[in-house]
Amino acid sequence: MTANKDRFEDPQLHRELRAQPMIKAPESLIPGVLSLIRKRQLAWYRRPAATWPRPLQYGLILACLVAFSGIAWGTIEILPALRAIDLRELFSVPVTRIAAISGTFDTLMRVGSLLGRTTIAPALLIIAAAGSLFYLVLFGAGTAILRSAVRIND
Amino acid sequence: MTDSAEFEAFMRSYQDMVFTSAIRLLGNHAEAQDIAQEVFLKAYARFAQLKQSSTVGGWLKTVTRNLCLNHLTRYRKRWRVFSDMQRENSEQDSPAYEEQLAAPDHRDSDERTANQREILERALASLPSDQRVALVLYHFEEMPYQDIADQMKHSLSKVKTDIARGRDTLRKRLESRKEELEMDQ
Repeated sequence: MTANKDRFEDPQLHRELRAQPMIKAPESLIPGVLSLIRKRQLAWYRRPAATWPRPLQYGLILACLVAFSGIAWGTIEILPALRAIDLRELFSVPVTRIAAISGTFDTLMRVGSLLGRTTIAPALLIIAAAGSLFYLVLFGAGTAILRSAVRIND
Repeated sequence: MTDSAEFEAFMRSYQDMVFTSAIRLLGNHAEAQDIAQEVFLKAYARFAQLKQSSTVGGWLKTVTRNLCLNHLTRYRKRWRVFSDMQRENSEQDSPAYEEQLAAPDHRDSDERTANQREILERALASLPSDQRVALVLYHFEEMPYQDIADQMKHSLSKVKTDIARGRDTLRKRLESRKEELEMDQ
């Protein structure tokens, strides 16, 4: 590349630019690199996931997908069973009869479990679904606006 | 000398060269530092081969240039809308990068030459991104127009226009700053 130096237009400016001295690197550059090297030398499980080896990163993504699918599948399976439970029948059962059948503790456990399945779990599911939808809408809209702005700018 | 001490000495020898290439291409102090860090991390990964190589300077320059151009096309474009607005606002005062720019490490006995060099560096830094990158690749890296067009993924005519405009702007800014300095003296 240096062989055809004469081809440069405006040789005076070219000479001036080539004569420019180097700019001093900041003092923090070397300590920064050395500390990054030290961090990367740590065992993979002590480092952030973004710096793990590729197979482990893919494994983590796969594990998350399996866990998410399991939760989703479990929720879908449980919902019809929850609908089949008759709440009025459960709460109309007299206390004495309940005590006679399985004891107060057992009843409380059953009520708590029932409330969890009928009220808390669906509520959490709805909150999670609404949150995801809200995030996706915001993210999608934000990206679309940014892309169109960049396109207009080009 | 341990490997770590050897690598530190290696960085000391090349840090100014890598940082200068990065800051001239990116025009941003913080981004240039990030790229320089990345370059040295890549160098560390293959330090065993590099320390015996005679073309280590060229390797470092090529890696720096490629990382900077990748950075400019991948990340900078997304935020160009906002950064251009910022640049327009701050142009009347003093551009942020020019303030951040470290003074060249000159040991010139002639103070006037040193001043002129600093003026040139600041004028270069204040050019729009496309003009500055094309101009740096052409004059500092001595790359042919076609290679610059390929690297920047721009047409040949755009690269030529950018370089010519950059050169004109640079010349005008240099002349006006020199006149200002002469009037002050």
